[in-house]
Amino acid sequence: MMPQWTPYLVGLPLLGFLLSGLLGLLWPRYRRWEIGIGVLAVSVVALAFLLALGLFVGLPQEELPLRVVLYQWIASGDFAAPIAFRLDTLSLWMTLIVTGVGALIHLYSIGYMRGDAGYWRYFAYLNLFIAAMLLLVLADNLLLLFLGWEGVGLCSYLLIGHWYADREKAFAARKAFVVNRIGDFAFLIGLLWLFREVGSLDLGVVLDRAGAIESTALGAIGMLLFLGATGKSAQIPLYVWLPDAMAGPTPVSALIHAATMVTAGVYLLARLSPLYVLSPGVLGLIALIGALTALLAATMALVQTDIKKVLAYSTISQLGLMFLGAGVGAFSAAIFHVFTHAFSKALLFLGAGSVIHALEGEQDIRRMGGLSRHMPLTYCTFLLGALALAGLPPLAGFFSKDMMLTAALGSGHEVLWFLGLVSSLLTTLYMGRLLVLVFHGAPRAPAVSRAHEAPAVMRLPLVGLAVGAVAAGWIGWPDLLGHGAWNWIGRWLSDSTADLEHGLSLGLEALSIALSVTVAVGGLWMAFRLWGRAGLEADHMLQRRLGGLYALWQSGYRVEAIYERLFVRPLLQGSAAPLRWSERYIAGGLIGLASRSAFFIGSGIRRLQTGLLSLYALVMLIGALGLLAWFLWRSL
Amino acid sequence: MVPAGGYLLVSALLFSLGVMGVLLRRSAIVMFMCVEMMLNAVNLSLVAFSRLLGDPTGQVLVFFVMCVAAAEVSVGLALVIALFRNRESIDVDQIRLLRG
Amino acid sequence: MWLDTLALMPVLLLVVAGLLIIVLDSLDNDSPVLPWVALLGLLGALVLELNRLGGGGRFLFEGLLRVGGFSAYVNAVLLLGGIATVIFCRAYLPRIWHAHGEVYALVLFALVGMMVMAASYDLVLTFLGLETMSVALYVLTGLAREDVRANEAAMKYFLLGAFATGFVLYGLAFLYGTTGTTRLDLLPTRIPNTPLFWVGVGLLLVGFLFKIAAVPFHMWAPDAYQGAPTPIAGFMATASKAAAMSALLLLLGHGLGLVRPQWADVLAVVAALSMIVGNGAALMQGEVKRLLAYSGIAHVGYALVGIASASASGYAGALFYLLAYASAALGAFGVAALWEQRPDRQLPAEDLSGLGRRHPLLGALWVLFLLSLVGFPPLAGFMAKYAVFAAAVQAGKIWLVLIGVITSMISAYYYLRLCVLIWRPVEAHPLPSSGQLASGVLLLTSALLLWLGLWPSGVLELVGRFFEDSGLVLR
Repeated sequence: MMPQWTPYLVGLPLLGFLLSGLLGLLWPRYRRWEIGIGVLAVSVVALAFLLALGLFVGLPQEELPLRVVLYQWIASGDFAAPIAFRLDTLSLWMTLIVTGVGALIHLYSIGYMRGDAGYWRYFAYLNLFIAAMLLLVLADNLLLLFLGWEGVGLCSYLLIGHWYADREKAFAARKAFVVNRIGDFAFLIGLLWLFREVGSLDLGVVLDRAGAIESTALGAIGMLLFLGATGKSAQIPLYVWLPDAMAGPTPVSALIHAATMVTAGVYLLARLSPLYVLSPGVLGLIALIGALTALLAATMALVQTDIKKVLAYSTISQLGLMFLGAGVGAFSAAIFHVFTHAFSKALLFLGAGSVIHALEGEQDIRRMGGLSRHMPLTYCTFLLGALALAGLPPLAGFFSKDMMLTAALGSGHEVLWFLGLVSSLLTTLYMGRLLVLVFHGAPRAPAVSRAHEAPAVMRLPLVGLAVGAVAAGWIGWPDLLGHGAWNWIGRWLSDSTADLEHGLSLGLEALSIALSVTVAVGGLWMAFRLWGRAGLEADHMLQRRLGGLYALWQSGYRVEAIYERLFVRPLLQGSAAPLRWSERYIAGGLIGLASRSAFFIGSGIRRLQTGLLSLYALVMLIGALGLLAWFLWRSL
Repeated sequence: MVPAGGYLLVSALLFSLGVMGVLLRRSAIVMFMCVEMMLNAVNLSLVAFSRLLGDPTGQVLVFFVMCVAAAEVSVGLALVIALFRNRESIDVDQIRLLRG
Repeated sequence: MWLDTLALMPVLLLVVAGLLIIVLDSLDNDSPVLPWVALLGLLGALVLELNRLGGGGRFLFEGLLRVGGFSAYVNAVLLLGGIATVIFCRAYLPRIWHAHGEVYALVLFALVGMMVMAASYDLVLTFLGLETMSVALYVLTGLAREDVRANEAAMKYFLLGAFATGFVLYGLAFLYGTTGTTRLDLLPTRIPNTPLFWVGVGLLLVGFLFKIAAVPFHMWAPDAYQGAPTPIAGFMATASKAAAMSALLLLLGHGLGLVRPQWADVLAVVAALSMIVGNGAALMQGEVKRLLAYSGIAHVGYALVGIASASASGYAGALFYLLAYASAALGAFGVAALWEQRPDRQLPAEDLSGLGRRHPLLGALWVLFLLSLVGFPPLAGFMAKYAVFAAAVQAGKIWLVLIGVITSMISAYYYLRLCVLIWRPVEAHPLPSSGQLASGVLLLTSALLLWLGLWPSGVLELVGRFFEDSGLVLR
């Protein structure tokens, strides 16, 4: 396969977007032709997947990385920004994940979205999302990467707000957008700074010259880019948007808010890993933030009652683990976890989608139960996904999680390793709880008895993802076995990532693995015992036992309330009545402050614009005098 | 022979008077007359500079200025008339529908 | 001499077309042929200008004017604005019962003034161009003469404009008095460092900054745009700004290019104020035309960032910005003109709801124009902002770029609100005035936005060629 085909990876989904979008806009009859729309959307992504597979098989690893230039985008003076793609082990691997999982989820959507009025719009945006995501992972230039980065944010906004007539959903979309803008802003500043230091944003140049950047600047750039990553990947302090993003259609949650877009932050860290390993302080902070996010989000997942919210907090927690992995220098392990997590979490989301579909929109797990009899296939696949996520060997999640945890231990971050282990335990607990409350026990709502299995077009992706959730981990066996000879993924990715070496004695590694397995088995056993016996009562029992802590988890550590009090409410009091409705939903630090001052300035200016001609003339005169004073001062 | 500085001083005074008039008066006609005063102040200094430099460009420019002022007058008076027809008043402080 | 006159063909073409319109109008009042005559003249001029876009400039009349190159580029932008304006006027004016023939003549005469400004290397001529443009625009602003709003808009624009003219002339007098010349090519060698000279420069700047509506000389703009017929507001927002901006560039970049440190910082302050005030005021604005006026003030700020960088790449960026902004703003004003239907000629934002459902294509184009104004990649607006910001970073004005980036992020708020609004599930009225030609213009400008965003190299290289590497003198 020729590397010249690379641009088509982005081009195919983009073509799908343009076709769906234009036909849908201009030709009302097309909007109702669901088969045509669906087949077009699926086939462009599937073709992209085949293309990626061809590149993966056809290009020997020794020839990578390759640079494929499409054309010269900007060429001004000494600065050139070509539209160029970078084919290396990392980008190729991410491309496979995005297109593979993406194609399955597109297929699933054909069934899930049937009868929706915005069918064409949905698929157009979904295709656009794939194009933007591929641009993000394949870009050879950080500016181009930023284009993809903004593009996936836009698509996420559009798709969360797919049912925009519902106000709450539209607001959830806006919240996601606004919170992401804070991160994006930091990202952009970081890029500008990097450009100032290096004089180019080409990945090759940036990575080569990383060592020449002065260390404080490097640290600051790393921090800014990391802040951008926390926005996109829903980490502390910018994670608040992801649970609300569940307002979108479930396949969107599976694709964008579990498998692909939210992992962009991890990808960014891995992509710039040669830069990050030079500033250990920033790496330490990343690891700490990751571990804390993993722990806190896992506790919150334990007390959710909305099936999608459980999965959302679980995603935040798993992303936290990935950041922990990246922070301790195990970048390839983090990407490995992106890979395994994509299968298991997409599977769980699609399974949840089938359940919601079967129960006609019901999302509250307290009104489910006993679904395993009515939906055996969904149950089986969901079970596999849950066990894989919980880290039960030999399912996929175990291998990648273990690789990150041993790295944490080996690099001397014992406390963080322990936090990771605790969050793994919590993961098994909430996954067990979810599984039991949804599928086992007696039905707790009449709708359950009417539940039925989804159509074949929705079942097929479940099976496909289940295979991945089982087997995806087998490409990265622990070093314990064969001294790393069986760790294919590590060798493949380490061409592109600058992993830190960690010397961990075999004994300690064995201990760590044993502990992980114990935690997985023990946690699952505990969960099944607790919720299997008592059902919902177990929740109440926990609530009684834990008291204030449980309430704290339920309130999400009061973060939303704190943001609300700090930023949103003062804003409301300051702004005019007609604008209130729009401002209420902006939660976030910088943007709150910035928009508050902006609205303040805005209202001041409008008050000055009184319509009085003499005042206008007076302002002009003041301006003129200012200019004169300036020039007189400069010339004297 | 009055020194050139004198002309410039008078011109500056005239210009400032015009500016103050635009700021302080409320009748559109009078404001416009004040603008004309500013232009004539400019004309005065242009002629003075022209003499000072012994170069005719300044005086040519004065003719252009007068031309342009005449064009502006015709448009300005038409606008004033249109305003007066609708409002029966040319007090600019009273026309403030457009604001905010 | 005769050859020099021939080189002025595009301008002469417009003059002839304008006069012809007046004659035809007197024979057959408000004849429907008139816009076609105007279009013919404009297209002819555009072809002539595009034809000499690539070559370097050529001085005419012993250095009075220079055609080709820089001026050809600016004139092409101006003519694009003129063509769009004529076409939108043709669709819009009959609806407000003001389909007067002289409108087209006035648009052409205003363009003549603008084109002279973009080519002039003598401040006297620049002044004449400025006034030709202004007087025509005063009349056009007050076109709906039975409407008090139009009277008010025109009166404000006129009185403040005349006030600004006073400053320009006084500045010109000082410049002449201290250097003995009004010619930009002679100016660099004669700059005295006397206070009087710099007072002159400051006064001169007042006039230019007024015409481009930069803060604090911007207050007329929202009022004038709101009262003017909508296509004319678009014309003022794009063409007259582009012309005054290019004249400013000629004065500062060419005439005062050797003393850049003297003016660069003050221009940066004006740019920063414009970005802050324009975006801040637009944030709270409910009337679409006023909102676009404030947004225009902000965009002037972004373009000024390029000039304030005082380098070849900065000037090139500003020129690129003019084209990108003009394409997007013409489109936005065009959609507003086509959609507006109230008898008082107002367009509150709520009136836009349902536009996208009723006319999906128009809605999609509207979104495209606004996204380009936000600076969303890969549209022209992004590339333009990128070009000026990169130049400012190179010039070490990081603070200015920070303000620019922050304000453009804030601006996303009000633009996106307008984008979302149109897709509301509301039953909307049909398009009050339709026109195949107007839709064609909208499609053309949107194509331009995409082209400039995706393949900007060609135009960026072109505008880069107008300046020497030092950024000193225009080629």
